[in-house]
Amino acid sequence: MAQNHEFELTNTTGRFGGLGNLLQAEFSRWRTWDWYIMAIIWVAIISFSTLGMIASTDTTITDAILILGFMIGMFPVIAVVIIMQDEIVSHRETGTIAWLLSKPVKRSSFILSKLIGNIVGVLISMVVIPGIVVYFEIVVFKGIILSPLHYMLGFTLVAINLVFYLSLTLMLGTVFEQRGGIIAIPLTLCLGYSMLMNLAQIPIHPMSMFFAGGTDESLFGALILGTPLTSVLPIISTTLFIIVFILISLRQFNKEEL
Amino acid sequence: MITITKQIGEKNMNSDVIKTFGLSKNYNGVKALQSLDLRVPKNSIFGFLGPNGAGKTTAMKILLGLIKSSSGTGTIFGKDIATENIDIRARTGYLPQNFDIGSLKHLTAREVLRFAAKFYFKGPEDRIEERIQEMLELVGLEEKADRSIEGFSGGEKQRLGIAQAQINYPDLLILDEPTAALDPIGRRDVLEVMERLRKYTTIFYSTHILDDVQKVSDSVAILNNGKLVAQGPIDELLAGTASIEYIITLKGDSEQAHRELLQKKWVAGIKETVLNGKKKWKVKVTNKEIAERELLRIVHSTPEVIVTSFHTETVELEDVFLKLVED
Repeated sequence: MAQNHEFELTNTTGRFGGLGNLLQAEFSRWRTWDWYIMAIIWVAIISFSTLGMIASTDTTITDAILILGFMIGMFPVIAVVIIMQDEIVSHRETGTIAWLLSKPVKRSSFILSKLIGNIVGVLISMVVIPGIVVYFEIVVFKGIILSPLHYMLGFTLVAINLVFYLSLTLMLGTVFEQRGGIIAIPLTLCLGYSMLMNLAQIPIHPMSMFFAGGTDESLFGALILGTPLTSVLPIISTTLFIIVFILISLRQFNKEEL
Repeated sequence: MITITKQIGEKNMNSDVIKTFGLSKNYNGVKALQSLDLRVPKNSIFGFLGPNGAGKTTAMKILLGLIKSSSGTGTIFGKDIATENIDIRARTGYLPQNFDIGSLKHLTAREVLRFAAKFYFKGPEDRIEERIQEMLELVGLEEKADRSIEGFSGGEKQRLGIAQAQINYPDLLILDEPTAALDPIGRRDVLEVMERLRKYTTIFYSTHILDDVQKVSDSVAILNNGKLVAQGPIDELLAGTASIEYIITLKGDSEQAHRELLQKKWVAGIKETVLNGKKKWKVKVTNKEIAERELLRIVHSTPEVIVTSFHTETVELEDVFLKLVED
């Protein structure tokens, strides 16, 4: 039988010890039927829900993009929060975290594997594939070929928005032990904005990238259509929030008593 | 704490794998662990006993760096548990209580072991696969190796848990309640696996099933309310904590024999019960050798007495445990 000296040993002293292996495990989830079905459902929801609006002859391309931004900026957030609320809590409850961290694994590696694994999965199933489908819907039904570069830049905002909620929910998982607060805070933040947007504009809120706020075009729409941007503040603030959430997650998880 | 702790601790100081010095843990004012001084000798199967909530899991988690101690220090393989924890974990295998790996339940047993192995080994792949197969055989899961672990029974999960803990041939195996929640067959299987691993590694395991401890362990520590109340080899613990008792069943007038025995210095006491005209004496003695030589001779010296049975009361670990925990 093989003795330990016959193996090539992993480097356990690095800053991100165990990250590669944890990421492989995260990505292995994307090869399961549960995730294929989820991806198909999200592609279907986003594509079909936008199809009627894009196909309608009464809707201009500007209006279509505005409504697309509203839908794609809000609905996938609910799914992201539902997926992420369990990432820390269930692992904590079942003892999986304690087991994983009994291996030569850095705590930061665990948090980063959850972030990267879910960001890749969410972006593929909720941004990239639906984005491609919607692009061809616009080509077919509106007869307009949008600049692929501008279209991609627009969808970058969708990605930033989802990463905001993803990292926020993950951070809350490191702070709270119960699911209630972990779900309630991001959903209130997302749905609450859309309810209150007529009362007050909050320019640093990520959802403000998808609402016109008194103008004809949202930031999302302006990027896709290649028109001048009115403000880049929501992009900067959302990116900064993401960084802060990740840093808090890492700090909080380092202190976690398992 | 009983004196054996100190003697055994000093004797094995240099060959101890785990050493702790005043390890304590408080949760919101509750003392979960109080000044634990533990010594786990190399290549022992060390049972960590205590009732539920005694602080066993807390102590194990501190050793693994999963939680921080409130005070005290400790070493494993001579490395500090607080500052050199990654090095310790690279040489240690751990089975948590009720082994369950929620989000990985779609994996097969072989894939779980491959996942565990990759934390230690980059390659070569064929060697890793060979090690995985060896572990599957060790715990008797080779026939279920390629099935999803979602459908595994509790016993199968525990055996898989031991296999993953042993995947890197660790110098120390820490098993938290490995036989809890298992049926008798599952318990027997897990204990057999532990016996097989005895020659390769030091096993430090917690349990409250005393029968298991007496079957496989050579040393134990008993924890109660966060405090260490005893520690040492089982044989010495049994011999050092319990007085020896002889059970004599007899008929006839035994007054004289009773009086004569109570005058002997080596007799600590006689407890008499009467049932169906027969007397049963529990004779507690302080010197086993004299008692074996003299006890029956004195009883037989009274002609009216007929002895119908005579035997030694066996002291079980359970008796020692209950005595220490209830004191």
